[in-house]
Amino acid sequence: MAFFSAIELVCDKESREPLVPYGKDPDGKMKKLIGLLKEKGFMTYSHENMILISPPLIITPEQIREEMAKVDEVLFIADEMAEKA
Amino acid sequence: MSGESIKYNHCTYNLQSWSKQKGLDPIPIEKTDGIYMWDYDGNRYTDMSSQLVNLNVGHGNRAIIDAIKEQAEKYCYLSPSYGSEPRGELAKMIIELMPDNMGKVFFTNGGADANENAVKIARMFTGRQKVFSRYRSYHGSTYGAGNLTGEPRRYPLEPGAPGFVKFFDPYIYRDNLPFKTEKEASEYYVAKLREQVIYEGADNVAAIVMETITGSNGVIIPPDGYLQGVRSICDEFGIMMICDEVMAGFGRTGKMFAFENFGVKPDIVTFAKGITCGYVQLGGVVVSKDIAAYFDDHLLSCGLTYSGHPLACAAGVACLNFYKDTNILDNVNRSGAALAECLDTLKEKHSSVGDVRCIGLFFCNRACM
Repeated sequence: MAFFSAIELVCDKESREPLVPYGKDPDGKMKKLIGLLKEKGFMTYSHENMILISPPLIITPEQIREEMAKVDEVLFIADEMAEKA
Repeated sequence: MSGESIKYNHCTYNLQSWSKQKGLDPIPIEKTDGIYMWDYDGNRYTDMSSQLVNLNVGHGNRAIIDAIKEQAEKYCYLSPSYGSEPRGELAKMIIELMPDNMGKVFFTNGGADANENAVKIARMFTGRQKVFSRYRSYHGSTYGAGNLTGEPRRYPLEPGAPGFVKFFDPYIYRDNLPFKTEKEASEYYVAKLREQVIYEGADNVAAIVMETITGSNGVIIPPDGYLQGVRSICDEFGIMMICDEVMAGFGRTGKMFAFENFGVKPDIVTFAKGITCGYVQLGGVVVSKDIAAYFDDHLLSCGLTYSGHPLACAAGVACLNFYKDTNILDNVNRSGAALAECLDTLKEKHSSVGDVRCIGLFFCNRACM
């Protein structure tokens, strides 16, 4: 087990088309998702179509669950983006 | 100073990395503790990226702060040619954590110059010039390290230095090829790499440089057999295997170093980030006993004013002791299981989540193939 993880966002699970094209984010989708996490006090960054999650190694399971619930909420917006794409 | 003044100075006088400068909105931080930070209005933020995947021990680690203070009272700096207690002690501690083939440490300021010096060392040792690295990779953005980097942060350096050859990562999810097993996938990727090495002229390839687990470019975990296969290519052609452990090293993958997950012994390892967790900046290159012995009689043509900075090394000693005394790997494995569970649930639940990757989720990756 590790604290080195990525969530890869796609338009469609079947085709695996990335939510944003390589090296670009013309509609600011990833920026928006990271901004929504920031509003909830969840600080991290993205790269391409991925949200990176790599908390300090001292984090507890309770803290993980509390924080990941915020990601769950924000991913509903990502789902909407994927549906519209 | 108020939060607003801090923000004003930041936006007016600082050039912030990797950003268009207009419209930046930095959070002014007043205090920090563990995984949390607070702004000047008392709002709390959780650090879920360990800053830049370096703050492994979290904020406000008392043991490291005290070690820096204690060292500062003795002396803050000695040039690399003087004997310094924390410099030698930290190198010894790092070698003790490494596989039995590793011999000595060359300290740098951070990860980028660690990778640059690793390349220089590999070239001096082998007498060869070409260096292989991967497209989906980040090894730094200074001129030398930036030539190793394969992703778009390399573009401003182009056309770049000659002799830097790129190959593709074993990115199973995105490649979407019909592999039945990890072994089959590894055989495919290793064979492609071997072919490319031969086409480039294997006799002139000094090193293959890889993030053991690709970090910022998406935590791309190599299938089992891949790194072992790269090791075989390196053995076959006398090429140095360089594992960049800048991000993955020091506990982040549940082992002290990520390559331990795959049972391989590199020739050169680069590190930074988790060695001091940013309390003072430090990086370095660990070389094999063979390479170390070569430089007994050959000039090591590498140098930095701050190589093995005493304050940084004192922080490093305290940091490694903290990992050991608190059994940090146990916590990574225990709390990491909670993270893996959450990630699995998110993948099931959300239509936009194509893949989730962390090393504990090996089996999930396998199921996705």
